Amino acid sequence: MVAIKPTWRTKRRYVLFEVVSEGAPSDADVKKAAYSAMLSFLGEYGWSLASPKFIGYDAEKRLGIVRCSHTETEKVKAALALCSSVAGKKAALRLKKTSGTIAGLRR
Amino acid sequence: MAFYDLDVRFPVKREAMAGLGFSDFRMFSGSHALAESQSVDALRQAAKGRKAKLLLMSSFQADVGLLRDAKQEGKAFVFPISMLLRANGIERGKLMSRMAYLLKLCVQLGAHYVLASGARNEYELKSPEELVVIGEALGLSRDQALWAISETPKLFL
Repeated sequence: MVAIKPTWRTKRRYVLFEVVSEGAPSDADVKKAAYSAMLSFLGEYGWSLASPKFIGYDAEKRLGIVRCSHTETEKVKAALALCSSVAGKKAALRLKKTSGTIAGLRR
Repeated sequence: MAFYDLDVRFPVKREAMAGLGFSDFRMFSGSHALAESQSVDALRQAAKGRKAKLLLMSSFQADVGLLRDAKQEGKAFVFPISMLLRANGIERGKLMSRMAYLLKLCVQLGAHYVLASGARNEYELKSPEELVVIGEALGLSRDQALWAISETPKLFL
């Protein structure tokens, strides 16, 4: 199998967000809310362009990470910003940082 | 760069807004400085008056006469993002479409416009970055969206 050249690789961005909500949502709740917000805002075609993926959620720090295509980063951020509930309770996803690497988010 | 939120509709602490990244904000519950209406005629009267500095067309109906009056009198249109948060599905799509069209006309005709949270509770508050990306989703460039939350609000503080 021939490896893809670095210049041909899809460039990705990682978006760090904080969950502000009434309750203590679980990883699954936050993932469902984020995916629902992105699908609702982007639509199926937009999803195909953005290729978002929920990377993980730290329930203690209430921080989550979503990966997306670098060309559609602003739209994914807008979709997350327009999320108004998690697990049926009022919530907001506060955008914290965007980086090309997960390590960059941790700095 | 300093950012301002000109439409907050619940008693929020200054520290909370500073934590989000805003230098200053304004609460407009019942104030005359913001004229809100679904009627074009009512807003045109408000635009020509002295009390109202900000105009909120709740239906986001595009009216060239209103836009020209607002530009002439130096008034700004407010775009509260919380209205999008409270809508879902097709209604949100329709609302975004109307907001985007009115914003486009504001840019074309030279009327002032301001992006604000219009928050009624802490969950509807948005940080400057969030307002900017939503502004971009409404058709503004990044610079236009930044201007709408930094330089333009200064004229109305």
